[in-house]
Amino acid sequence: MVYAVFMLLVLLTLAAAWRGPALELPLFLVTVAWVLVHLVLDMTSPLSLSF
Amino acid sequence: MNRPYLAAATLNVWVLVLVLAAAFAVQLILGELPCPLCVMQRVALMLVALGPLHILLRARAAGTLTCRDAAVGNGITILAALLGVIASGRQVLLHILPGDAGFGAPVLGLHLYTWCLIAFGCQIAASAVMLLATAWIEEKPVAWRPTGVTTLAFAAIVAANLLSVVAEAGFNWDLPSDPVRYLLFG
Repeated sequence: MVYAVFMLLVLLTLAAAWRGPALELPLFLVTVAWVLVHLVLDMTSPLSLSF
Repeated sequence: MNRPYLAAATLNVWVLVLVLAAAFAVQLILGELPCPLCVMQRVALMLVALGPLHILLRARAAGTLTCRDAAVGNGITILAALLGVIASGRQVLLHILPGDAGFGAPVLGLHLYTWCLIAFGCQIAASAVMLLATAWIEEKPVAWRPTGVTTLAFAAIVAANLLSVVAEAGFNWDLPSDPVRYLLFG
């Protein structure tokens, strides 16, 4: 489900960009930060993402 | 220079839509379910596309292309592509040992995550060129009709991937590391 949430955030960022720039960049940065944290947490713990 | 700039941004989005569609086709036709790192790379590709879409949508709303919007759009692309480099680079390193067959079937001799790493590198290089090209942007009115259909095509491929990953994960927060079936359907 976490990946669906990431994609939902992409769609929300797109909708924000369509309506006006106010929310677009904050949403984009939140998504990037969350994806980065998800990747780094996986790298610093026993393998769980992929083989 | 404004119309070639917008044409390049539009082409970039369509290339990314086609890459995402090709990955989706591999999933549906070959029956290869994407692993969590593969899905992360798809998310990074989607985030990369938000850069040129920012340029297109701002030009559509303002009726002109500005250097500021072009810079922000290319910044979005570079940041997202770096995220993609981390995800795809990690997967390449996971399979770099001699004798490792890699994850999934190769396409044109390379695995999809290797193609992704190349694509993210190309995106960073393309954004650098687009940033250089802002030197020739003229801030005067410009009409660019393909923005609407380009945005809708991108939204459709993201929505399709969203439904696919919900079907794959079922009611679980994360995906199994080597998925073999759609958990939503038992």
